[in-house]
Amino acid sequence: MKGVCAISILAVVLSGCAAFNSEPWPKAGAGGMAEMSPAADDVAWNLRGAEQFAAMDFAQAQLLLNRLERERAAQLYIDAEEDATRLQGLMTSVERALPASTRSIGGSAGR
Amino acid sequence: MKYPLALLIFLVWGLAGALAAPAQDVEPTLQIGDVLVIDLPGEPSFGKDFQVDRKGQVMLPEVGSVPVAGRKLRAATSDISARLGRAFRDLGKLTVSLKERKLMVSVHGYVKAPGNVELPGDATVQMAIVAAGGLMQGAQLDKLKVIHADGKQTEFDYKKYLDTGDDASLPTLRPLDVVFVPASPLTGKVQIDFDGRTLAAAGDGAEERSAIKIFGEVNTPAIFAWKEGATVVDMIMRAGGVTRYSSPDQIRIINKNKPILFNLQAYLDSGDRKLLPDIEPGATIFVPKQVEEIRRGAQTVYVMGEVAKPGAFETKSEASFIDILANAGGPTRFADTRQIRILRANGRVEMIDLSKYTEGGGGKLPPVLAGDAIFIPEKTQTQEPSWLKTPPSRAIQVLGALYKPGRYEWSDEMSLFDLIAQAGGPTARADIANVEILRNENDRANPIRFNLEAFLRGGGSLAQVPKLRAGYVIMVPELPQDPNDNKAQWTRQAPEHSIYVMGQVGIPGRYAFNPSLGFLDIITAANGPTGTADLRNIRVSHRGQRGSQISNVNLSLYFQTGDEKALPRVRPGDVIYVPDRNKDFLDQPVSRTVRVLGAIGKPGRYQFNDDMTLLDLLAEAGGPTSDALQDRILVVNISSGQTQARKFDLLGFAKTGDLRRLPTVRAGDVVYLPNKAQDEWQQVMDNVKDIITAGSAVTLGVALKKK
Repeated sequence: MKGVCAISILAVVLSGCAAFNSEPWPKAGAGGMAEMSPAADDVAWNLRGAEQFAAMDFAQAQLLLNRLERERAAQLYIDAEEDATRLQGLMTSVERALPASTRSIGGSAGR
Repeated sequence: MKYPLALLIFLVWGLAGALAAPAQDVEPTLQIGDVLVIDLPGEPSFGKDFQVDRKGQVMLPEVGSVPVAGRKLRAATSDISARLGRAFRDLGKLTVSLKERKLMVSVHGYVKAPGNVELPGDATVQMAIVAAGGLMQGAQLDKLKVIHADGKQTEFDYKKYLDTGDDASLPTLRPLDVVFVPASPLTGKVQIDFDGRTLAAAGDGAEERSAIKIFGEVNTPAIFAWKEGATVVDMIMRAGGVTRYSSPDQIRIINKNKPILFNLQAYLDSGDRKLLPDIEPGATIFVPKQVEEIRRGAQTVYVMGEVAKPGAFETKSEASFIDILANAGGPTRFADTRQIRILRANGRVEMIDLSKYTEGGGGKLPPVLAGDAIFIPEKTQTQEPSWLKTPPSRAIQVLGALYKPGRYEWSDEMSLFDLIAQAGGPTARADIANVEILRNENDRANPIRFNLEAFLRGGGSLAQVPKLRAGYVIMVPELPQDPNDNKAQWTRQAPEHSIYVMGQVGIPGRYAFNPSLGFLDIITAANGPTGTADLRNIRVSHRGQRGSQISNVNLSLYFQTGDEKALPRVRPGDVIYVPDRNKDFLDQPVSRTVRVLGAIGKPGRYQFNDDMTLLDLLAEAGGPTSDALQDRILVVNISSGQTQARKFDLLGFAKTGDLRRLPTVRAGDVVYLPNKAQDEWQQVMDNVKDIITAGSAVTLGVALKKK
């Protein structure tokens, strides 16, 4: 009987060890709605008429901006950097499409 | 000495005789017609007029007639007195005097009231004719006669008197003369009523031997009286002039039995009096009809074909082409005035475009020389069965989608528009954006293409419109029918004018396309995307360029934003592919989907954009299953630089509503929902359960063994 008990305890310990030997669970993620954070509201959209004159680029820029905010929040900095470059290109394109009188875009748009 | 005395006596006697003569003449000789007044006072039957009758007698009362004609008045008085003495006693107071003279003549022939007329003593022939009621129509004026009582006749020309007023030509009338007015021979032998005017027109020649006979192509052929000094022209004018059918250069005159050929035309052209022959009495003038003879001469030009009066014409060096054509009556309505030809005497042929000339098209009409022939051809009718009349050098061919394609006659001042209009215009299915013109030059055919549609719409310099020439071929292609219908017709459409639409559209196929059309035009032409079309991933393959180029079209984004920039610029030859939303997963790029695995309703690859969150994805994938580890949903952010995994506690999020707990998910990431079996504690508990179960089994076995 002693033997049986000893074997049982050993088995439990070993199985527990086996279970805890696998990869640990990752830490909780964040940033899925980063664009809703107060920081994102600071983005200066000084693009008057952008929705009218460059609607498609503007819509894509908004999506890209969402993504940028999310990547920032998720600490995916390398990806965020790449996307920031893309966003800058898009914003330049938007700016070109605007009538001269409404162009007032600043460098902050690509933040 | 006695001779002078005798001479003196003779002279005195002669003088006395001469002086006495007028006294004797005062006493008239009585003649027929004289009116005497015989007066015997106291006798009432006298004291009135007594006329000498046609027998030369006066009729006296009681004693009868006494001849007095031819007697002197005094002698006649004695005769009367002697005769009266038979019945009357006291004749001492008898007086006989001549009251007035009257002329008793007769007027016969063509007068209105022939018979005896009584005229004043000094009356003329004209008064006698008037007293007889005047001349009748048809009287021959130049042949009047006076027949005297002694039987002698005097013929005189009354017309001459009427012409000149010279009464010396008229005979003096004496008592009992007969004035005879003859009828003109033209009145014929049968009495009819006629109009004097037509009679005069028919000629006035009374004497056949001297009259001028005019016949042939004159308006009133007749015999006319010869007149001193009258010329041929006068006589022809008298006959009413020549008719339109006459041949005025061939007039024949027979003068004293000698024929003369008279060229009236030459006389009228030159005015040379020498050409005008004199007309002798009794001449015959014949104006011949223009005969259809083969005229040939040094000055002849020939006009043939579609003119009013084709024929040979005499020309002069200064006669122009227009002069000759006008003389030939001008072109008829069937004449093809664009193709008039001059056949030169030396065999050369020259073309004249009279229409162009008359429209001010410039140029100069060539001179027409003697011996040349002008040929005005017949107009070629379009419905004419023979198309061979238009030689290839003047024809242009029009093929394709026009209402009346065919072979048309061409002239270089016409334009492409003239030709298309003449061919009935393009049909509804004509592709006028691609009019093809095959130019034939130097035995080589070079095709050019003209966008008529763009020109009509946008205008431009007329110099842009290709100049056409005879011999060219114009092809107006036809737009294809519905691509579903007849695929054989597709071969008519050149690939470079087509665009290809495939995939999820109503009618995929090959469509006629030109650069002025856009992406939406062609998608709409193909009946638009179907219900399962993936609007976000439409692809356009731009062909015909160096390297391959693909545009991704997010039509959904276009509808969302209305930004035309979303639509690609398509060109003929491009291919548009509209994929199916439920397409093969191989077609979906990794970079655009999120892979959702594990304990979820519908694991799979889901499209994702940065507006969505993990919650959207879980909802779309059917949500976690009941054995899912909902507090440990895993998200793997796949990145070129830093791939990382994150955990999401759905349960905790649901309990708190804290949005910050939502992990970042991007297209390309992986979401995994572990099930409860993968929980470590659960695994331990399962092991324990297994051990207990195994232990229980061992214990049971040992107990049974012990028994």
